[in-house]
Amino acid sequence: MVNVVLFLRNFISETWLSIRNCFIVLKYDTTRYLLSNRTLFLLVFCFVPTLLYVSFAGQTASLEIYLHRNGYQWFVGYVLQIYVTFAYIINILVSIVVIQELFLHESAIEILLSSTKRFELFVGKTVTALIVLIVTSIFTWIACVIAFIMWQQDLPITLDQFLTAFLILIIVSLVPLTITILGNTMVMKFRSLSGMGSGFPIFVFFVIPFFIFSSIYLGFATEEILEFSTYFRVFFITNFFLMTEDERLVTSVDVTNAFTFFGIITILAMIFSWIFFWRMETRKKE
Amino acid sequence: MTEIHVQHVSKIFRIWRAGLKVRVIDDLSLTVSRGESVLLLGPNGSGKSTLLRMIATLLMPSEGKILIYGYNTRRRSRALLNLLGFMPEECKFHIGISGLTFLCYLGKLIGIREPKKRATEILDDFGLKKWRNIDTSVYSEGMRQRLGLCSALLNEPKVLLLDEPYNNLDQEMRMKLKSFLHKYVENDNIVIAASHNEEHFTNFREIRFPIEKGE
Repeated sequence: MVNVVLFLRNFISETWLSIRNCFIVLKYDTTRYLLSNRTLFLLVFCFVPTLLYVSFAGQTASLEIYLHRNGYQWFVGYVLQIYVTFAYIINILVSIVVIQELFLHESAIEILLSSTKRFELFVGKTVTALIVLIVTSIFTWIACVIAFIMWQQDLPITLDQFLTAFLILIIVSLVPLTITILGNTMVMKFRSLSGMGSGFPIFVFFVIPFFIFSSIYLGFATEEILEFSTYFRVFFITNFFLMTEDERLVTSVDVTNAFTFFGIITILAMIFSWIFFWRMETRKKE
Repeated sequence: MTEIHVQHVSKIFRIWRAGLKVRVIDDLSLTVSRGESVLLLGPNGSGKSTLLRMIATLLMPSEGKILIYGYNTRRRSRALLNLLGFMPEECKFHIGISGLTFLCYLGKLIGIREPKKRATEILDDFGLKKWRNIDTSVYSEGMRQRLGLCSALLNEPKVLLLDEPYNNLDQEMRMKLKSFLHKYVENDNIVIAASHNEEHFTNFREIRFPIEKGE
């Protein structure tokens, strides 16, 4: 009986300390990121879609002409599509920087790991990455609203539509981020000091889509190349869950293909990230 | 009273490109008692820092086990971590963060009751009073080394592990650290240092690397 009480007491105390430490890491890293010059610089990038959007629209025609030609629903879809796409590009940029800083190049890793549990650092840093990403998404949306204000138009989007677009953005950003972070799980498991596990997923989920988007928007490639982007596939899958029954029937084959493509890429990313991890860990010298 | 047991420990690193397995430490056994200071002495790549990192629970032994005050380093319990203080060879800190902020963060993670007070005290002790609120990225190598020492000593560990502690320090600081370590060991603590030269390590038991199998 005494042993059980002692075990329970230790378990509760250990759990409490773990939760407390995760929050300490979260608070420290989030503050460090969101208040750093680097983040301010990245947030400036949130306005790039706005500027591109405004300049693009200003060159072609006014909002009234768009609405007259294509109708209100088309316009709403168009706005949301552009918002999600551009916001995702920004999230890619931010994710690369944040993951690299948090996992690949954590400068004080040896000092921190010799004082605290790996699990607590890992959870704290993962949640930090998610929070930074969500804050960036919100800033990108604010930038989108500013585009309309600059255009002197009321925002023709309801709250429901905004939330749907925001949800899609968060999911398409979080799925690659989660896989990238999973690439680091072996770092924790096998007590490595390297974060190389995230190298390959960063390349597949962030660097390649970034080049694809850049190529399309700079006019070096057509939109067909989007099929090779993991973003496009995740976007498709996410959309599927938000569709009506009729729409789902029409797009079921495409969605199956998207699932297959995304599944294969995810498995490959995990395998390669673990191979990278092994190479780095076993090559580590004094 | 023996408090650190290194029992038949080996560490193997694989070099994939060369298709090699390098056995950096081979079947090493040693014991360290309370109030003892040990110097792991040897050339670069001889395995002294690897052993230090294994004792600090940063690396796992490929074979064998290490017991510190009865705790196995494989389990990394909180009680074990609270006994250890580790200073790496290259002390790196977060850009944009002051020395005091970093130590407060570390102190909170360790569970020190008044982290700011303790951090201020220890920074003052190691001559970083003027610099405590300044971004660590502008610190010189020697100042970073001193901040690394402060990090290792923050929780007043029973086992202090130092990798090349005298690197980049000026003469005055070297003398100060030497006398500090002497007093630290007198208080029944253990100090294990790794270095490639024995200068400044008087009264340390020397263990020379590389160590032959079973030595």
